[in-house]
Amino acid sequence: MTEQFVLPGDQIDVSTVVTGAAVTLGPNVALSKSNLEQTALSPTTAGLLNVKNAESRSPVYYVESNGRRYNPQVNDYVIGIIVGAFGEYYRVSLNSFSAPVLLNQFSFPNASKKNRPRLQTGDLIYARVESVQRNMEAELSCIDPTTGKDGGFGLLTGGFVFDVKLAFARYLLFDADAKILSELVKKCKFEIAIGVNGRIWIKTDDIKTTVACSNAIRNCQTWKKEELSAKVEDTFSVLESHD
Amino acid sequence: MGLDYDISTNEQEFVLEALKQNVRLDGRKLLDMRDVKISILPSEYGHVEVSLGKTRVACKVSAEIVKPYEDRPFEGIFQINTEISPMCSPFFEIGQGSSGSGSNSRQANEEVLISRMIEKAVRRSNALDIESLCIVAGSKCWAVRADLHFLNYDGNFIDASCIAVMTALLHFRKPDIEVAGEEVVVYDTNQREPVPLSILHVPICITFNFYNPNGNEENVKGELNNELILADASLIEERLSLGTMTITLNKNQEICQLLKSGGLNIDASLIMNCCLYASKLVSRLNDEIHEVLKEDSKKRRNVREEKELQVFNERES
Amino acid sequence: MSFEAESGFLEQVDGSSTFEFADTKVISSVAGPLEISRMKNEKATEAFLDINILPASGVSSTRESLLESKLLSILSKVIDVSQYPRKQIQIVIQMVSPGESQLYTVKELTAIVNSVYISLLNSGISLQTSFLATCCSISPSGDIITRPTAKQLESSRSHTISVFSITDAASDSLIYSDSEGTFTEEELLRVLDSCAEDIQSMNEKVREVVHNRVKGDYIWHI
Repeated sequence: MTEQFVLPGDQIDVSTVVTGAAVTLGPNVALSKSNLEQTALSPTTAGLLNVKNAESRSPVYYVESNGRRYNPQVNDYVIGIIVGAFGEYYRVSLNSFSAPVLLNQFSFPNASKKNRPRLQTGDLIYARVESVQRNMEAELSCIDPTTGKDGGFGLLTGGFVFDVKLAFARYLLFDADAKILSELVKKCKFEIAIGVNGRIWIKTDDIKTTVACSNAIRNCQTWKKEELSAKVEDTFSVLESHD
Repeated sequence: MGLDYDISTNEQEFVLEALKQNVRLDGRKLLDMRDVKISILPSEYGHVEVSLGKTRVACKVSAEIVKPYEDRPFEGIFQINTEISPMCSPFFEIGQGSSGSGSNSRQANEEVLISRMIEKAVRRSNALDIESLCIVAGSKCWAVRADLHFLNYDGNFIDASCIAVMTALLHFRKPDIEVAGEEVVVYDTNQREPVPLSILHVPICITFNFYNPNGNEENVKGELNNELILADASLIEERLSLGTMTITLNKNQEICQLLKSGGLNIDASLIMNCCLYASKLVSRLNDEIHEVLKEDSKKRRNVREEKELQVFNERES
Repeated sequence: MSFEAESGFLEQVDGSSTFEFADTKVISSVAGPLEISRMKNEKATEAFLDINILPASGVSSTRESLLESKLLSILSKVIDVSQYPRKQIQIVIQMVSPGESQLYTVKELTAIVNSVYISLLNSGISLQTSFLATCCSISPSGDIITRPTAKQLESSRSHTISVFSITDAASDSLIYSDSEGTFTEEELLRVLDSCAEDIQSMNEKVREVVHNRVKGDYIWHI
């Protein structure tokens, strides 16, 4: 895996790709429009270029970039806030000020005309992005497609929710050895849901621990790895010494 | 229609529950203010940036010579421009508020409230002596304007902007002038040391936010009176508050202005307590402002002295 | 002539930056793609660019509107607006110090374009290409001055702002050019050449600023 810094307009070198391979364009990579004679790739934003399966017949090119605003992609796990309802749909907000997405009232396990969840405006849900189409609103679903059961999706009750940057949320969700989480496990018992739309929901036994956990996770974005343990310690001791 | 923050019920309940237990999300106590950082831009006079936690506001003061208003020939003109742009948050829209086309959204109201508060606190409390801005009665006067630039929103714009405007006014220097009859000579800042404005007192706003942990209904019946009072609310605290009160005080402990809005009923004695507490904060902030100004004038003097010495040295050699 | 730039310091918007050169300083912010806030602005096939320029002192006038329309014509060529149909992208520019008299807009536009470019990269909005702007003035004696000061600008015979796209760290094609004053065709070509050269040299430092920002974004990962 290479991590090279690239900007829009830079040509991505695809000469190493084996002939006849089908290249997949991941996030933030597009076909270059400045050079029409030959196929060339170019990043659409500043970030770190990653190539997966470079040697194989199906390499993937993508550019890692840490933004704040989420663009729905199929099969992403997200945390949304119900902001309204119309017909048989709920309107769900994934980021403040972004265009809302849809959640069908029947996209819950065992939902029927008579038995469907009654969600209120302001409720938090954990869901999966089911479909994204260019000219339509994206749609969410609370059903795990492999089992047909809830699979952890659905209404999130209690707890606290806060925003982090997108790449950080992805790291927390996909990196099994995210150090911050293993540090927190040592401090307290908690329940967590991570949405790749940059929202994290956390629930612990008492308010102070929840505040400490959320501050630790949020502030961790500006900490280096080696100072992490000490800073987590600080975050908790500040709140404990409070009164 | 404007865009709004989406705040979940979970968050609302959590924040209120935390406040009940005397815990705020950033680790402050209920009546603690965030750290105030005042920085004066070195390139010119009267350009100040204030940050209150993550809230950031800049103020730029400028002056020009114009004709005074017909009905007030002995007074100069002082204007404050408080247009909030979506730069500080997409929550605010451009072209609304006091100067806009009378939109009725909540955001517009919020912007009007902020500009009226600053207007009342600084302009109407006569913080700036506008009679001293008169040059030739009825024909020439100084027009001083303070432009506020709202950069980042994390609650409590009013307190931050008030500090910014006052520091900028105290720091500003207008070019020296000489009047001979109707003739006015304006000296370049290199020719003559520019002169400060005449500031009569330094009003500072302190905003409190109120919450009722037992819901609105209990408050109207008013038996328990255990409303929560917060100073210097952050974004989410401000969005959830049921009532706010802004007190403008100067260091002589005089109240220049007091505005209580939002409808939550509050005991009169609690308001007295708020005032006493605010006066403590104000004297601390007042010291901080003067400290920053002193630091800055020291820096500036050095530059001038160096320049003079340089000239002197050049002459010597 | 040097310049200063900083990126990613505002919290509530998606991208932000400052750009400062020769007494001209601006702050810009980018947020998007957002939900359309006014129905009349909605475009069925592309994003609506909501551009606002706020002067350092006073209220917006026709001067700011002129700058806004110039900026729009540049940005609609470089932002991949077709990616975001029925959305809006909010771009706000706060002038901090103009660094030139009211009669000119060239230095301000240069700083605005460069600052918005850095903010756009910070926000992650899709761009078709990298781009930078620079300005030149021609003195009465015929010398070309890149990124002039206010005084040099006032004594100049003509001035030009040009925006070039950047491919593989080199100035590529001309996106926008705007000149005022008297000049010959040969002079204009010379000016464009030195602009392209200047942009190439600026690009190195801008790249570094953006790279540092990206490194800062991933500090927990390193």
